[in-house]
Amino acid sequence: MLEILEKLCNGEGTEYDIYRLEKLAINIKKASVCGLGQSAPNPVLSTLRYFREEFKEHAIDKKCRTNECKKIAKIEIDPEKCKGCSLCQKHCPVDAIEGEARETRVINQEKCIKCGTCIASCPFHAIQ
Amino acid sequence: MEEFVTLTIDDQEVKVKKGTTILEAAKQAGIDIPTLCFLKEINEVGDCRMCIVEVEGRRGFATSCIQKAEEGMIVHTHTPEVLEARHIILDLILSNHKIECLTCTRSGNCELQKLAQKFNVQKIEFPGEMSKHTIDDKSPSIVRDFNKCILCRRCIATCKNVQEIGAIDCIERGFESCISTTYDNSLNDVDCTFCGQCIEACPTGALHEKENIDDVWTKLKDPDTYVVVQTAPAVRVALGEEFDMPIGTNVKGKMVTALKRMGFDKVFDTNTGADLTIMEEANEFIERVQGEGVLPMITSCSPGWVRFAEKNYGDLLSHLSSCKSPHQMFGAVIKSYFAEKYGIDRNKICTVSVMPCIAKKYECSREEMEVDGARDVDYVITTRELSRMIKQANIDFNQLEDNEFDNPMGEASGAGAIFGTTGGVMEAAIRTAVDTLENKKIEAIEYQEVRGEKGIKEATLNVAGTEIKIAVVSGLANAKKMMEQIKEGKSPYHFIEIMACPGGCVMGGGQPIKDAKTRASVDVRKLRADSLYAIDEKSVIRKSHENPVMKQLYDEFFEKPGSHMAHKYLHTKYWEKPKYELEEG
Amino acid sequence: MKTIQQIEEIRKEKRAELDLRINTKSDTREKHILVCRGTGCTSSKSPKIIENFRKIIEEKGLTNVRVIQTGCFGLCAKGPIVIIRPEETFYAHVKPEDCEEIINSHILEGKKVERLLCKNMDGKLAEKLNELDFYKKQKRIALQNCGLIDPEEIDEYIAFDGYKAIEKVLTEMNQDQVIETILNSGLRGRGGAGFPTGRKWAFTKDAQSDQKYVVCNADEGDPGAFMDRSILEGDPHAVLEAMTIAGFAIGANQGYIYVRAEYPIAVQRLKIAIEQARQYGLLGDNILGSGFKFDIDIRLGAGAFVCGEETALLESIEGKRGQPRVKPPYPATCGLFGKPTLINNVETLANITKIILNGADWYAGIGTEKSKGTKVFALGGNVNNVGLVEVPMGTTLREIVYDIGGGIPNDRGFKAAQTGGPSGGCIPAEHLDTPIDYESLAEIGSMMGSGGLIVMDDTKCMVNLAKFYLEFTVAESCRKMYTM
Repeated sequence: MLEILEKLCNGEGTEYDIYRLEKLAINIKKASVCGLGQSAPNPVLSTLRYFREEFKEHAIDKKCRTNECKKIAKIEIDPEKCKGCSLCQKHCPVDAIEGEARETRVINQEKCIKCGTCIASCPFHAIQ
Repeated sequence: MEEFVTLTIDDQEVKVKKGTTILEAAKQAGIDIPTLCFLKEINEVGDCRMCIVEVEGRRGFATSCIQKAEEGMIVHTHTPEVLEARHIILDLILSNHKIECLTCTRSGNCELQKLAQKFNVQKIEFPGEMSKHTIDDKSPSIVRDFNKCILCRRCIATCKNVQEIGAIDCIERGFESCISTTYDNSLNDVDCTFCGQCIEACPTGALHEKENIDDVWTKLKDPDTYVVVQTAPAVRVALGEEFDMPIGTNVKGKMVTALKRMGFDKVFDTNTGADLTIMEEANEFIERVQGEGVLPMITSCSPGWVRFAEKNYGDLLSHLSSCKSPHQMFGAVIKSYFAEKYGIDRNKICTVSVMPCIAKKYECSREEMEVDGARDVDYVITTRELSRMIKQANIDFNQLEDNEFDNPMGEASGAGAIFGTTGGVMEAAIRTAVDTLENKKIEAIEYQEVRGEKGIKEATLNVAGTEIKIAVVSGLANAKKMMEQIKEGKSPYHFIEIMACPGGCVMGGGQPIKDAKTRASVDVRKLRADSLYAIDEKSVIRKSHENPVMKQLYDEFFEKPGSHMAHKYLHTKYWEKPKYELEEG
Repeated sequence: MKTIQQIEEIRKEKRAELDLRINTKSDTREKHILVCRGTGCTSSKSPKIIENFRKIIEEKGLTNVRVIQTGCFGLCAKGPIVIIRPEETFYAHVKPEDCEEIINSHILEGKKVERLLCKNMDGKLAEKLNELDFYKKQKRIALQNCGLIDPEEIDEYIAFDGYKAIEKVLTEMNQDQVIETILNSGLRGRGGAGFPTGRKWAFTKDAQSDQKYVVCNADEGDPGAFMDRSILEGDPHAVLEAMTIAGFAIGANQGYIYVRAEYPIAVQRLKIAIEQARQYGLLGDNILGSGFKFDIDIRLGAGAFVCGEETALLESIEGKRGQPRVKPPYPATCGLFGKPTLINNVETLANITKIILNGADWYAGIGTEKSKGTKVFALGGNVNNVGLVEVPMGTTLREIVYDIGGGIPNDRGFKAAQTGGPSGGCIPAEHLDTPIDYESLAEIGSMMGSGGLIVMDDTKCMVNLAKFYLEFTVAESCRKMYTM
């Protein structure tokens, strides 16, 4: 189960993996020796029950909406909110933000290491 | 009053004694629930989850190998849910098993493989990270490959509960959990005695003997080497099982033919060596009884037992007989008397022993097992290895005609034959000792008190006016009991036979491996042992000292038992050894 | 060795002396400064706070002021916490440097140090403990003595009805009556499974054997859970007394507390408590002259989550590898060393003395129909008032997160709450109004668990959450079944 979840968080999972994960979780719950084994799949089963959309996003869209899964996190600047103040650009440790003067800034996804420093530095909460 | 319960399994009503498990009850109804970790009376722990069944009214699944049957229970062993769960479980087990069937020694006799076939496994649904452990092949006897282990713990149960050695257990936690020794050292460096019972218990190829097949083939192909082979008594009543013959079939004749065809220059019988051991050991015993040396005297032909004694009772080693084991003695004879008499350069002789035992591989490699620079025995191969070599040589074993062992030295008494079963060495020794002490030929030579499956058997004999108490012990747990008694000075015995393997050599670590189902329903030990006793019964010569080969050997070479020559070739020493020889760090 | 009489005398005397601890209207000239010495506050320098207070008090010769170390007050987010009695002033985030000001301003001049007071959600300052929103919906039964007494002073425990329950049991009740009381109270196992405690006691009592055991499961392996820790640190005698009562009820003379080695303060407090109880004859032969004998020994865990499972715990005490046994047989018939064994969680035991003293009906009057009494939760994660809370069963999740927990910081939205640790499930926003009880939680796919309650806001990835818990479970697996 852990390996399938790791695949999903790395953007290597597929929709079939969600099906496999669920099947595995249900059966381990039924066939375990002790209470710990019977309840170990619970976090998986309950998150699947209520947040299946997020799993699908990870598997199909290769997206993590909270950006916690670093491998598939995508940090984007909202052009409506960006004032071009360049604070994020100055703080970015890998120079992944492009744009000059008062232009709306854009993050170069290839260079971005998803550290999140830009999010914290934006005074207008324009970065997600 | 026997209490019974009636339950329904797969719509069949079954009536069983109270206390029977669902697994056994199912068997009675002709339902074969799959198991992996179950080993009757040794390992009943419910680890593998293969035996799960649905019990109406209960949440989840029940573990049928442990759950006792109850009145009115309704059990289903193959509903779609159970089948799905079982399939996934098997899949998960296989996903962390190094699948090497084509090149694995257990292919064809592997319980995991059988289950995969039974369930028609065609692909692994849940592949994942696999354990990567280095293979432990440091010892001369046993190889441990954890990457094939399925953690059924049958080996641990055997080592800990049956043999009471406890050299292996489950260490670490989480994915790192593995079955290993103290601080993950080699079996060679800890208190393992190489009895090999764990190999007999293992359902897969995770444990097996260190092979010497290639070594032997190399020697056989070498025109310059004179290769002599000898076979232990226990081998001939088990070898046939590797060729689908019933358990315990005596295949001596075919075995000899096969060995000849394989190219051995001489095919001898370890039973002859056994007779020689009796000559020396009976003599030694009589000397000790008459005042020279400590009592009780303990037999020393089981190298697993000897290693156990050296590691645990180093200060009591003087109790062990100084005699070498039969095949070592015989090997020494081959490279001295036989070589001389028949003009063969002893340095060109290679002696090979076929043994039911893996500890013998260790024994023949012991430093002191040589005389004048020539190893008594060069290689030991197990019954299993021999069967593989026979197949490699394209020999159709079942079609072979019978043949006799080579002469000279091809004769052996019935006493030599029964060495292979617990109590056999004692009986053989008594037959000779009694005749010697009483100075006449005693007719009643079958000692039933030392036969049978009990772990500790005792008897009191009245020989030439002296009372002699004997004990016959098999299994290291019982050996421990004997030694503790001796340590406390409370041992009432004069002579003790100790075999490391429960049941004696017929159940040795090198014998054909029987799966858990067979072990649960068939008394393998009895079938093989009875076959040996049958050989003895049919033998014309049934006492070691009446074997004419013995007269020949002593007249022409050794002079008399216990002589200087006898001691040079046929006797050995023991040393206290540390229990653990761990690597630093 | 004390007799019932002597204990009662201590009780009377001490209760009067400590009246100001619970009576805000006490007219005493004394001031008690209670400082939290739970693990959390201790690691935030509360020992230094105590030291400073004591130094200043001595320097100024204030003979009417006492500093007392106590167990956890529960509002860990605001630690280190100092409470001044009898006025019940609640000072938060106290630093060792603040001691001078508290003494000068509050004690000597009667003026409260406003900057150290807490603000409620409406923005107003809460001067007293029971004015805090955090405490309004709580009902502290298991945590009754935590924050009230010095856990290293048996006399303080005795003062507030300590060891009165065992006296009642030994003098007025028989085994069946004790078990019936627990059964009727509706108390269920607080370790997570929720098995009716009275029934477990009954099974163990009925098992025939020459030797039985009482084992307290203090392994508390769930990450984020510290309910048991706080009880052991703040009120160890409650556990000892409960185990003695249990021993009497089932017919055992020996008890073991299996506590994880990662709780050094708890272990220390337990050792002291056991020693003190032995000295008073409340453990050992002939307890309170009744002829009943019971003793308790501590066994330390070695860092394995799996040893929180009752049968794995027993294997560990027996010196073997901590892996669970197949059940049946259950520990009630075949437990420690093969003997009938009663295993109860710390929090379960902490309720026993109160049930005995106040009666089964009292306890059954709290909570819901099937889940009686209260439950301690370790509130953590993205919530303002991180800490330990005890609420009656049936309190909704919304009340716990918002009314008691003070809502989610940074105005973020509630995404889910995880109960039951690695064995539990998450509860999404749509179920915020679910009452917290065993059945309701199981219905929505979670479980009560031991009490860990982690709140998650919308910055948390749920897939990652599942992965986090699985990482834990995989690392801790004993691999008895190697299919994991």
